[in-house]
Amino acid sequence: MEKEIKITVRNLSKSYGGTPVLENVSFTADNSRPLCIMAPSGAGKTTLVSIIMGLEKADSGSISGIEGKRFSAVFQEDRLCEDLSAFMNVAVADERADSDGVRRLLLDCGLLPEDIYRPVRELSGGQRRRAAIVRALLSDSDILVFDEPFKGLDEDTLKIVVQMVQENINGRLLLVITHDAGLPRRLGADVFSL
Amino acid sequence: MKPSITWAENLIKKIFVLLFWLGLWQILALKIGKEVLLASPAATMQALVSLVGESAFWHTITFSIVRIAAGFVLGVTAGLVLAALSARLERIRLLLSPFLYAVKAAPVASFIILALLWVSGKNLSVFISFLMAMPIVYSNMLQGFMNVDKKLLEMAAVFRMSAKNKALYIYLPRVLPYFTAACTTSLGLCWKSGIAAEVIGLPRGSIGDRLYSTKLYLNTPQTFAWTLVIIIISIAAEKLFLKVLETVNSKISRGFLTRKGGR
Repeated sequence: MEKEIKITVRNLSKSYGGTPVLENVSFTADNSRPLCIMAPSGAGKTTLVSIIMGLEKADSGSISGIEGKRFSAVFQEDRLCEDLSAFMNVAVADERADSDGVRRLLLDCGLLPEDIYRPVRELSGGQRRRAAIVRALLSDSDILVFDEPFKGLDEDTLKIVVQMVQENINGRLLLVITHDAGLPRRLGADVFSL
Repeated sequence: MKPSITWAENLIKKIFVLLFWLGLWQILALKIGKEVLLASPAATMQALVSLVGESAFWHTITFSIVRIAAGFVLGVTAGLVLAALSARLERIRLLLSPFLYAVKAAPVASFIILALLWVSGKNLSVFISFLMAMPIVYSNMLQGFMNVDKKLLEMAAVFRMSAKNKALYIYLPRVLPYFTAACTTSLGLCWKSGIAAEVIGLPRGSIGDRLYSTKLYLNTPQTFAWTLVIIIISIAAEKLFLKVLETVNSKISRGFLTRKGGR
């Protein structure tokens, strides 16, 4: 029996320099199904997840259910340490991550054995993206926040990575920011349109 | 075979440049014809050989190196700590800025004269060397700390990365080039200013004291010989320091690719 993880966002608003970015946003998400938050570019999706993860403060509104919860994330940019290898980027994000598990998942998502220990600055965009996804999946957390996680991946890789994500959610709450209309179906996710 | 040919070519070029300047020096010395005004290369070498043969020589250079190096290490440490604090707290940055501006802008001679009132002549070079290194390291390191990628720091916050990992994997790669530049610049400056402080403070048994004596006795070949010693130590110290940094950097970089203890 999985422990329920549920977050409730109520009337969240945020503006920058008088320009509203989010206005009275409300939704609920739990770990029974992933939730895809969909909106066109510039609609404040990234601001919304930054507020949920505590990186920014909302002007008004509230979020309940995140108290004491641990997050891991795939950011819109990869946010990898450029001098570190893909293996080390995953390993330093969570020191308790098992080396064999890190290596296995990096290989499972299509990285070649020789790519795992090269500095990530030498990897392609798609390889870096996969390393960022593995880092989020293997980090000890309650809530996974994925911001446009599969951009730059070709169809074959996308299939493999989506399956890997599904196999490694492990009862966590998954929030996915996307503007890809086909993604909720692939992930078996609910949709919230911003 | 090509690299060794290039290496030999470079060596020949360097020897040629050295011979050119030695030749010019010798011609000028011959033209002037007074060793007291311009010692010839031969007289300088003779003085240098006789200095190196003295038992006090090694004691003298050790005396100066230890004190100037101590001031340098203290200055680097203080600059590093203050820069880290300033990068975090704007109030500290504002508070320190007039002091550091004054230290950077004021002539070294003013500090030497003032410092003579506060510290003994023996430790004057420690203090002056500290004052030379600290603001340079502070400014460079502050710039380095401020340039650390904020998005990576956000990532570290989300993943609850440990302070040690943040320092090692996020801060270090970004600030190391600033640290290297600050140290190489301030190392030479510390050495020159430290010797200048010794010439004014005249601590017994220092290079500055010996240099001053050569002026008193109008022993120009010895002045040149001591100057040569100062230059050689300065170059050697810079090269040694860069080598140490390079070794440390490559050890750290190896740890960037895999966990300690192998794969």
